[in-house]
Amino acid sequence: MKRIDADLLVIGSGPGGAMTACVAAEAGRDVLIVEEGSHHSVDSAPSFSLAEMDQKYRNGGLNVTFGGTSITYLEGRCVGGGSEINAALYHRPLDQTLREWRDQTKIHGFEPADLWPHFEAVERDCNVNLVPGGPGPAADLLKRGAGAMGWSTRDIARFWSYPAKGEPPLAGSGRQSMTVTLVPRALRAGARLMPDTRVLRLTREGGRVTGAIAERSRAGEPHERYELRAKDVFVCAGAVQTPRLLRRSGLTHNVGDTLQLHPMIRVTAHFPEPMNDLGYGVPTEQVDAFKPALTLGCSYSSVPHLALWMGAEPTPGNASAKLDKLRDWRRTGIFYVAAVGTGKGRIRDLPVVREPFIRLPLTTDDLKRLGEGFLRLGQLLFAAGADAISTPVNGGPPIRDRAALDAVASALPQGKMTVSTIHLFSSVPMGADDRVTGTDSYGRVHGTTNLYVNDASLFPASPAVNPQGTVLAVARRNVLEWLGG
Amino acid sequence: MIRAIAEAEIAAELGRHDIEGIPFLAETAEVLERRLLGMPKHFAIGMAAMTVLFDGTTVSREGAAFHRLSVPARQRALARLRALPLGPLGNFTTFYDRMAPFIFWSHLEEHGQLDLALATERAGR
Repeated sequence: MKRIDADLLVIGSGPGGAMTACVAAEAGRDVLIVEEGSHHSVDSAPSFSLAEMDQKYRNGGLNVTFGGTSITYLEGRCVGGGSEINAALYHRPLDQTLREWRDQTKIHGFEPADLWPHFEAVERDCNVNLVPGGPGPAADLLKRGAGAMGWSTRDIARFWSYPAKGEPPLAGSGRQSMTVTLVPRALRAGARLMPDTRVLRLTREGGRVTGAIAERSRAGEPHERYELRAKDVFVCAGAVQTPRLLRRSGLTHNVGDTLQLHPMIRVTAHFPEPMNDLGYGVPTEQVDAFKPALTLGCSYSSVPHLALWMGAEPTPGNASAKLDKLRDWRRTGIFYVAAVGTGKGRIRDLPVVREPFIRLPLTTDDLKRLGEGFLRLGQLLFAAGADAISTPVNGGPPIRDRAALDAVASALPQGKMTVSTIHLFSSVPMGADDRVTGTDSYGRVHGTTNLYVNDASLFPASPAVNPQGTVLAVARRNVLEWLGG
Repeated sequence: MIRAIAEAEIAAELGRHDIEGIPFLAETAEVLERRLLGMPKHFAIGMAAMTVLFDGTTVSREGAAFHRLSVPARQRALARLRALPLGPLGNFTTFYDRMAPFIFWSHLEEHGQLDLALATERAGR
């Protein structure tokens, strides 16, 4: 077994790990980053494509929780983690949310004013920008429908670079993922990166973690085992993989018992006029009138994605209906309702197959909340001119009027909808109250002297917005504290 | 068996009851199988077992295993399955109903044949 030594071992290279590694390396620390997935360039495959799913998603994007309704969740499994595959939307959370977190688990040094400098640094370092010239026709339509209902919307900034006015288009997509921003900075500052390397378990001497045992697996090469030795270890593998690794290493106190997520349902809507312009990528408008509980928005709506979300044609004998709908893709878009989930999930490793088993109920409150969100979304889409909306219930007929909308929204059924998420968090919550937390206020795992968590696992509850900005800001706060404040 | 399901799903996607001249069927089935086997093992094992079981369920009604049926008979069998109150087992049909079309249209898009397919396919063949 080969041995590698470092001051700091960072496990995972998504937003939490990339920020941790970058700040530590630029402060002169000897950093080793270990990433289970491969290292691809940001534009190695078109966004949201089949090829991208093969390259960058864990299990090709097909991971599921168990409960009354299975929830499909997506995880990045590549250098850069989720930042390489998500919609790249950026938010600061509400002050109210941060104060609730602080009070819920007694987090020290967690006033909103303490956090804002970290958010400002993230916005600067990761190139957070609004789409110049407006977010496109689908977003305009969402705005129009919300306006007709008297609801507020917001154009959401993204981790994205755009050419300046009058400048030629950028060579690449412009996505400012971790492989474009913080990972290269960490490497320039001397950090070492080991992709294709899975950490099997942490090694410990009592409360001190001495490193990890890892295995590198690259196509066409024999597997290699490594003993990684470090003075300190940060685990930043995401809200599912981080608690799995801790539990495999014998650290179980409030680890993997409180996973939360944003359950999301998607529907398609058809309009009389063209509204789907793929050139704009993900439409960046969101309805924020119902935050923090609910977010309504539009998704990337290419023909393959429309076909996916339409599912099988529900009307027997109406064989050409779906093809006709797909032919009309420029007048059809995918829209979503994302809710703050109320269920808490347990993450355990199954014996023998060594896969995560997540039991997370979609609660009655979740169904009510999603139903309320679907009702609002339907009202908005009809107000914007939609003539048909698909139902979130698998196999159900399209909705063409308010009465049908009310009927479906008032009774969303358990187990008959396709619910998905890419926002997972709260599986190892931080805070000084060790009765309910897995780490202290800065991510140090209880019962250890030098092991830290620094990703979305730390959130005491939902951020109520796309989490990547908050992951980066909290990670920056925590690693600076580790460096000495 | 996965190829048989993919053919029925894609023919229905195009509003057809045959598969003559439909491109990327083999590729769609191959990716579908890879996706199924790439799922977490406990889920993949369950899905694979259900796929095999489903193959035999058509014998009494249609007189042959699913993979030996004509495309219209396969489409009827899938429609009957969708109509059953399967509860969590509904993931089985949802997987094929959603992933097969996504993979098929993705292949067309990747090879620049999307607009052509949308323009030239004629329903009800």
